[in-house]
Amino acid sequence: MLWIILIVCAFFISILESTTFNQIAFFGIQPDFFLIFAVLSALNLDLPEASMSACIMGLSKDILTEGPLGANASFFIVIAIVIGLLRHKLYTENILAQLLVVLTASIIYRGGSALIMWLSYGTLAPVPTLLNVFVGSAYTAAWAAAPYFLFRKFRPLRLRRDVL
Amino acid sequence: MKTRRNNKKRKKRLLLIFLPTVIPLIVCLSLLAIPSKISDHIKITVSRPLSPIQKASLTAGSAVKKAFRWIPHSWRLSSNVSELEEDVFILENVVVAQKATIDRLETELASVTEYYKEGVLGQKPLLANVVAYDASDQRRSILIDIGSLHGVTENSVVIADAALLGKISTVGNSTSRVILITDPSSKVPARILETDDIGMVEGGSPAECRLKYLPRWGQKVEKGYKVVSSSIGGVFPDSLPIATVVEGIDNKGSSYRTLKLKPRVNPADVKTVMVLKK
Repeated sequence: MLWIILIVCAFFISILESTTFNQIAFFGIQPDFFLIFAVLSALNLDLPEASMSACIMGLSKDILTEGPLGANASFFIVIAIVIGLLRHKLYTENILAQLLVVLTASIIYRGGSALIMWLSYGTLAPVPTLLNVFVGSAYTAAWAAAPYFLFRKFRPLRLRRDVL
Repeated sequence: MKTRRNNKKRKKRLLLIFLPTVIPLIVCLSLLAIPSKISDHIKITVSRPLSPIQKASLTAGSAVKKAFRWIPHSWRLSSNVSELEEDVFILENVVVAQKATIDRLETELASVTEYYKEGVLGQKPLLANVVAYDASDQRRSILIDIGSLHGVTENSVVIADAALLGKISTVGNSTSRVILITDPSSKVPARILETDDIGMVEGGSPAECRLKYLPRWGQKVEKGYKVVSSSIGGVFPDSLPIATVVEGIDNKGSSYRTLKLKPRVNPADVKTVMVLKK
């Protein structure tokens, strides 16, 4: 059931991110639902499932964006693994805690992507990039509330790591 | 003995968690090693089945956006309909007059400029619809609904509203990806129309691009000067409008000047583009 939901979500996010969200973007910034799902998977699922979910989301994003295939997917998986390993040190049941984790992950991801682009092409405008990193991350985190409830509803009752 | 067996079991369980966690990462990292041409081809082939749905979603989104703009607009204007009708009548006359001027200028242009003869008439333009935008807000590219079956080739020039929009980066059978001039990887040789100074237009942010590598002690450039393409490198045709100058950027210590530009075309508003087939 969980996998069906994730794959259906990946499909709909792919459609919306490449069409509608671009039309409602402000200052060229749009919420990154691929990242939201990767982070929430890491917070609410077991590590292998979170890693696979981040892989699906990352590859979906890679397919619909310019740049090397596998770059976003690798980034997402690393983020998911790190969050998955640190999860037990965070109070993640609370919605605010989860949104804060999404915000932090988004800042790291957007900042990292901007850094890679600057190193690759050397053509980033500082103000729009900073706006994209910080305002874009806050915007993304704000949108994470809806998927949070989806994960609350469909997450497994006992995580494998808790059982071990 | 029991503890050792338990430890073994625990290790086995941890391995069962560790391997499926790391395998996707290894697969994704190995995808990075694929040559960009092949990975671009994989991407455009995989995304092809999505394009009809993306097109429908984009059309629906545009209709909703238009309706949201139209409702308050029509509310405001409903009070002076007759005034608007008068305006429409005047504007129709202006359009007719401007069409006549355009026809006359086109005839003059065709007879006097070599660019028009060789550049525009020599190339076969193809009309295309925008199917989707880039899913990342840090990259600027669009997907259009024509591909190699229609004769599109890599590096074909894409224009919209008589201005340069970008160039084709990847070609699929019936879809192609266009790198916009505002993308960080985009580089277009250009010159300032008024001063003839040559530089390079580079992307980097959603609504602006920069003209770099202008001679520091060149002619004075004012706001509103036009920047057009240069045929240096052989990819872009000469004299295609790109952007207008907004302001100069002070980069002390550099032997070059940089200017901030506003692109002539806003990619978010573009629905139809023209590809200059090579």
